[in-house]
Amino acid sequence: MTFSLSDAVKKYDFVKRFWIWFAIPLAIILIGVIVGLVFGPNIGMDFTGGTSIEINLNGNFSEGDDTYKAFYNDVQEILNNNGIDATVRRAESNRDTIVRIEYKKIVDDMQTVNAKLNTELRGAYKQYFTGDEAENIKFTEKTSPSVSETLARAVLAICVSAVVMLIYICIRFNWRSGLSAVITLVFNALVMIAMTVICRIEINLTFIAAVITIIAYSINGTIVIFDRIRENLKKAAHAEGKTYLCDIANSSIRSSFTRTVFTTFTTLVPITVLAIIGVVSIQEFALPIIFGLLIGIFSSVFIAPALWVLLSGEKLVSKSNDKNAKA
Amino acid sequence: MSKLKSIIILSIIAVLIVALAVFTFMPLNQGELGIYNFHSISGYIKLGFDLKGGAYVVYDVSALEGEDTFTEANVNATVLRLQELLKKEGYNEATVSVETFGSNKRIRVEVPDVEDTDYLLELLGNPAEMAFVAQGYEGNYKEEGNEAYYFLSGKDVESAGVTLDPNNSSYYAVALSFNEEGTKKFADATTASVGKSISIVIDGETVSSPTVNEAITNGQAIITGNFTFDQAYQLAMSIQSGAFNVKLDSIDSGAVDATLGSNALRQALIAGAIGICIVMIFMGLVYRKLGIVANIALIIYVLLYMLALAILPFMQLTLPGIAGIVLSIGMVVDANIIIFERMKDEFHSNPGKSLENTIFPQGFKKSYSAIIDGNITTLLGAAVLWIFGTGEIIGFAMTLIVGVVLSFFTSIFVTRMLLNLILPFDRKNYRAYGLITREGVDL
Repeated sequence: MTFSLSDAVKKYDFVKRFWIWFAIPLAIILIGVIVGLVFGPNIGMDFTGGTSIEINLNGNFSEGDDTYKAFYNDVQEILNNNGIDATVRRAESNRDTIVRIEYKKIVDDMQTVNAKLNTELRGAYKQYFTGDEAENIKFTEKTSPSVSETLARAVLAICVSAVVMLIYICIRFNWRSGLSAVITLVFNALVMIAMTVICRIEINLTFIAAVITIIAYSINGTIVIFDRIRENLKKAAHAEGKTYLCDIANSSIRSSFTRTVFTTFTTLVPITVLAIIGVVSIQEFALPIIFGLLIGIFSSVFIAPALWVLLSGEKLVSKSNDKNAKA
Repeated sequence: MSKLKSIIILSIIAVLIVALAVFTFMPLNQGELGIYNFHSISGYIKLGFDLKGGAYVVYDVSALEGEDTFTEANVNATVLRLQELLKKEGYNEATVSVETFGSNKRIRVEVPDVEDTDYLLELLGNPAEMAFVAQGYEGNYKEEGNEAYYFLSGKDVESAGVTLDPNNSSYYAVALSFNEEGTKKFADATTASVGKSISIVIDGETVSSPTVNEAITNGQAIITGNFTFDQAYQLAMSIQSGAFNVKLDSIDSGAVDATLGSNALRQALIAGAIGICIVMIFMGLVYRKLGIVANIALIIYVLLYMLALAILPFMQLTLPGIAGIVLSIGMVVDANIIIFERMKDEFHSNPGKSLENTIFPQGFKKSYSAIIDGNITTLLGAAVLWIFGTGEIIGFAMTLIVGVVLSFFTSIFVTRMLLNLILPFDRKNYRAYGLITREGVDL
């Protein structure tokens, strides 16, 4: 018993229904935009700036210690009452236990908020611990002239990587392949961002790194197919009769289909396992990469080649194709 | 190649692999390896500080008081000073790096394995700006509306230490030693100021104003102020850390928990192992003997990768770096898949041709272009990340780059060599090599 993809794939016209396939990522991007506008994207501290508070408990308290637990709960309560969504962590230094709180900027002027927090935290501190509460509670602002710079730099990096890929493909192939590959890339990046927004994953610098990685990686799938197209074009030049570009595109996709699927699969599996088992910060990185890989293979097959045909000035369906469809 | 030769070479390779695996993952103690106490090779892999925990400070760099701009050389000198300072305080694994944002520069200091951010910040976070001021003496900077001239600043200081106060032995003082340029400047200024006073200004406050009795040409100066030992020490440290060629403003600092990191590392390793196993099963099923060759090549790749991580001096393993390793593994397997699919194509268009002479070599030859393209684009992406990235991301970029370079080597040389080695055992059975099925799995 053989399970073979080739029978299903051999006859399928990948290029014909381009506009339908194109609508899918478009829809995802649209949903992403809507979700982003309605709920606000989950932008991380790398971009918003924020505050970090370090509270030195002036002594060593284990995690199960009652005083520690009571203080910890108070801290949570204070944060909640002030509407602050923060990460609260505990650390051990050589002598003392330290509680660290980090949260993003929620309003433009955090001064009043932070001042209020400071007072309340000091009050709580006094109840449980000796030592000067003012000295042991330290606020640090993560300043933000850096923030808009960070954003600009991230966007710049993404653009540079896309341009670099464009140049590379134009050199290795031709400008039509380059253009269709880069348009596909841009779509991949946008879909990645959209899916990340929809899933409310925090957008940090590591996410930007994931986007750039996918830009570099997913272009491989597109290259595989364009490589075939180039080969088939050469063969077609010697053949008799007219060859339609859409037919060449289709046959190229078909003959490299296995390669495309298998290579994506073998990369997807380890990253998926990593995303399932890993800690949250790894998940934040792995999930966007998974999105990117999935949209990458989709667009390498259904979008890039069709774009290439269109950019070459030909139609997506040739006369010979039409005949087959009728029969 | 004869079967015998194959067996010999394969055995040698097997032994090497096992040895490398053992050395990589198992620490050997004193008794077992003779004199040396050898941590496993993987123990030598430097963990990035997001995995190990520690503290970090990021400074914005600007020009010193009285200067308009700073040069690249200033920044580099500052980096060196910071590194020396950290080493002196015992932080041997601290890293100091420069980040460029357009025309702005930042210096990032990461010190793994330190919980006490307080001490670190005091050490680094408050670089004191020091200046020597002489009345009516023309130095290199004049403050507006003031008669005073600053003629020496922190960057002229070679070192600062604590010494006993020469005037009153129950107090301490700070002993300054100037560098060559500073010595000259100080000599000139003291010569011109004999009989007058020179003020020592720290962070804008005049700390002391001794009278100059004679010209001081040996480049040594003492700052007195009835200091206790602690005060003198603090001041000396501040001056030392303020003795930079640029002005540093701390804009970000914080700490990372170690426990977060070690959990993450363990889980990532388990995930990596599981992922690799699944991929190996897949390759074995689909490509049979070819698949087994690919799997052995993969094992060799992973071991070489660990070796590279341990040996290369600038490599640090960060959390995103783990994802980078996983991606690189995906790439190696991809390369092998490309080669094998080409071999299948070759076989189907020329059935019956010799494996050894035609199908395998042609398969390799025709897939080079695709493999090279794939690797180069990933390399370019990693380069962009390296240039634009900070901290963790650079760690990720480096793991990708190492991965790509190694995968070039592995998928082209290692796979080929292994194939040539197993050929003598079976030169004809196309099915056993997984070449017959067109796509999918033949059950």
